[in-house]
Amino acid sequence: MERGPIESLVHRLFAGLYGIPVLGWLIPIVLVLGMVALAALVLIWLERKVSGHIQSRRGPLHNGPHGLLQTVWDALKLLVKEDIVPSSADRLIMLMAPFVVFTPAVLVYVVMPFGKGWTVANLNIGLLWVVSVLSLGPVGIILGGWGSHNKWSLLGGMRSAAQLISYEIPSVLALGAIVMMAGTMSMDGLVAAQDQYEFVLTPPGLIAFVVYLVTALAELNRNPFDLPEAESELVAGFVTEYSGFKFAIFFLAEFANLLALSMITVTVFLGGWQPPSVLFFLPDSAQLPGVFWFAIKTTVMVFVFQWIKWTLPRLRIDQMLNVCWKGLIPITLGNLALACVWLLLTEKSWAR
Amino acid sequence: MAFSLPQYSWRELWEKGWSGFVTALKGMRVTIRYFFSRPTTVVYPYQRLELPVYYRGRHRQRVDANGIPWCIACGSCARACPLECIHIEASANPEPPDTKRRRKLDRFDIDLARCMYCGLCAEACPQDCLMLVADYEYSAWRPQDLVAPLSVQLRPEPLSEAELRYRADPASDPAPAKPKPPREASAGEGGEG
Amino acid sequence: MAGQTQVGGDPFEEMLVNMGPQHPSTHGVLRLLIRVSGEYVEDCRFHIGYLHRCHEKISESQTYVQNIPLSDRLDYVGAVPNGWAQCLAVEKLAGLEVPARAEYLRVIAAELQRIASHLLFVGTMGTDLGAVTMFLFGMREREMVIDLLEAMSGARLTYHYIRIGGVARDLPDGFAERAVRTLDTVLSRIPDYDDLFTNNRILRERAERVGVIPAQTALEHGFSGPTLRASGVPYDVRRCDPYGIYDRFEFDVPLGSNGDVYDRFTIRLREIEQSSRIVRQALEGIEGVGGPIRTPIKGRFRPAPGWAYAHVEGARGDVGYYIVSQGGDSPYRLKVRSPCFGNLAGLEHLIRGWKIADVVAILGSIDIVLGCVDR
Repeated sequence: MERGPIESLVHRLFAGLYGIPVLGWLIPIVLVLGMVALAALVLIWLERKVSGHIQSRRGPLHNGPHGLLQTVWDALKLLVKEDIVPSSADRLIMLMAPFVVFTPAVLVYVVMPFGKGWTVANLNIGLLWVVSVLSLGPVGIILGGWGSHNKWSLLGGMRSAAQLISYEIPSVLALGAIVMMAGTMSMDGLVAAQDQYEFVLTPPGLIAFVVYLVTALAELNRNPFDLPEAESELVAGFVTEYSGFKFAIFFLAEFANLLALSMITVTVFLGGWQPPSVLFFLPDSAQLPGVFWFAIKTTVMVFVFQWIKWTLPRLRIDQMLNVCWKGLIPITLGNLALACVWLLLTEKSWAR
Repeated sequence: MAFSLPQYSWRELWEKGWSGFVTALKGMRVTIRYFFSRPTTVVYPYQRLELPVYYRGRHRQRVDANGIPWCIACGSCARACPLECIHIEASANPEPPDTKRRRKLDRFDIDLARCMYCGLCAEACPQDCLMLVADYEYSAWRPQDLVAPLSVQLRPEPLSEAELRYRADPASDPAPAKPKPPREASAGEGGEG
Repeated sequence: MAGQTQVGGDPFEEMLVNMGPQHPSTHGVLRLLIRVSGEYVEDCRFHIGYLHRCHEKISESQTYVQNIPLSDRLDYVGAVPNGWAQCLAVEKLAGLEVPARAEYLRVIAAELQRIASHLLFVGTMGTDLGAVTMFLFGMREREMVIDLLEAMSGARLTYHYIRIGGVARDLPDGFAERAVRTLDTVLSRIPDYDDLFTNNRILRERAERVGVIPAQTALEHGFSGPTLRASGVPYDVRRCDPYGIYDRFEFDVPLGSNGDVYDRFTIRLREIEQSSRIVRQALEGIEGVGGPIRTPIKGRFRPAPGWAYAHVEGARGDVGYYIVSQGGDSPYRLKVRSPCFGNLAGLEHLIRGWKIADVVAILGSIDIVLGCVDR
């Protein structure tokens, strides 16, 4: 297994010391946490700018260049706000909920290939790790909905549970087609399998991409699937009773998730850190380092998610379940078969 | 109460799904177009919209060349006000500036927090002295700070060209009657009260 | 904090949820007490009165002239027709004639107000169904129409434009061209609304066959306005009981067929087009009509004893004013027939059996304004 620059450096310094590369774990953790926090601040600003310009507004404008520091002040305001807990709330569960939501959102980054060899841990079950860790997030939402002792929160939590159960299945099935085509679950392996062309350019890959976009929207609780928060229906859903620091953590987790899912989409469908195959005519000297391609593609995906969110109305809960069980699952199952046919046609073996 | 979900055939589901996909793309085409078009909002404290000169904002009293308001303390405005937010006290003027202004204002308070800016007071004014101008920036921390005394209502600067089109100038008319704006013939509620 | 403990039924199946008066989509301060079984609404009760301002009682202590600005506060997003109804009743009572030019101005103001109000409805329908962009689009176009009304009256929300015996002020210079230009812009944006929202599959799923009000039920409950016409009943005061000079204009009364949320939504979009037709005709018609814009009132205004009822087609329905005079300075009794109250009252058991999300959609589709409901 190739070691990334960070890893190899630290290994050279600390390898063999107690047999545990302590710094090799600590530095990436700090880097990833810092990146997530910083990226979330920028993403919140981006969300407000994108929504503003889509709606013929301007968005934040006054703090920093183009309002870039607005989120920082908002975060500071949330941190110094009084932390209000309803008297009848379950304090422990209500306190746990934001962290249960936030932790998986950060854990996903462990397997993310940011660039060539830039992976904290190159697990051979990387995609499985991503899927399983991401499905933990809604548990926190359910906890928050229950612990707040508010009926709107409870309804939001219940909707989130229904959404979790439904949308994990087509999500995994859509990724399954890609795993079949790549023959590996390792995130690095998935990127390497796309060195000729991206999976999104193959018919089963395209279908899986569209389906995965839809399920990602559902996992992110974004329009048209923002039912757990559903501002006009459930006041604020599971965050109704949250304020101050805990609310900020929920907010941070939401945008960490947005970034994570964009990165996963880029890695699995859009060729990861490799330059887009449609730009094959570019000479090698004009190539950017992989991490730049990764950042560019991720930004585009984030924009697409925000673009969709600010366009579509919200589905009703039964329609959302219908879309999943009667629409997406048959499509993804058929897509698995299509992937088999595609593999046979392109004469690729199951295992590399 | 029994509830039942609608049942759809596979064909209907496919049509719904496909049209959902297509119409979502259509909607996204609209939003991306507006994303790249100019915002329509005005950055308020730095830019301002142009209001018509007859906009009903806060009250002003017009004054003559010596800085004395044209008000004759008749009390028409206070009687016309539906909310009774104008308070007038007047006494005999020892040296009246003209034959009409024989009474001097001691107090002319308008409770701007109570006022609903209907403009009935300005219409009732026989001197065309009281008027509502396009000024809307007078917020205060406490409601009682919004009671405007006469001193802040005076408007020493003469009317602009645009304003003169809608309000007659009492100075130009030795015995100012009801103002007659260009096309507004004989408007008025009469002195009710 | 939502609700009290469960009452009746199975405590593990049912939940009593208090929706409002601080709920974001009850369009003001309506309070709904809904008993839900999961997401389904088993029972619903409306509690109104959070915005009660004693409009009718206050009117008995003020003069007729002073009462007119209060009418703007009833239906504050569709203010002009309220004032029109009240002035019409007073004019009937006092036998006042309205100058021809004022009649045109009244039509222009009322139809612009209808457009502004319906644009706001289009926007709030968007937020109720989760499409926030639609809300901002609706507000953006409404703002342009409000600019026109501001140019006419000098205020942006409570215009106090229609007065007893006429209107407040004449059109400013260049108004006609400006109005036509604005209306062109507004109409040119409606295809965008269609692409973004009206034809969107998700909206159709959310709105079609949801909250169906059959024509018979709508009539029995005293619905009016677009809510009634969406059910297919061709009742429009402008047609059925023409007031002012509406009989001179050419316009269609859009009718729905199903009476569902989608019909109530699209019918307002079509009414925007019809209203702009009327405004264009009125702007052409007013060219040749000069003369005064208000009949002067001589002395104190004291209508002869008697009563009068006048109703007009407001943005939300049939606005009626019933005024009794005993010959004094102020009315002896003033009663408002508010369209929102009628539309809301019949809704209580029509939203049983739908989901919470549908309650929001149905409530939004009848376009209530709580200032109009509570008075």
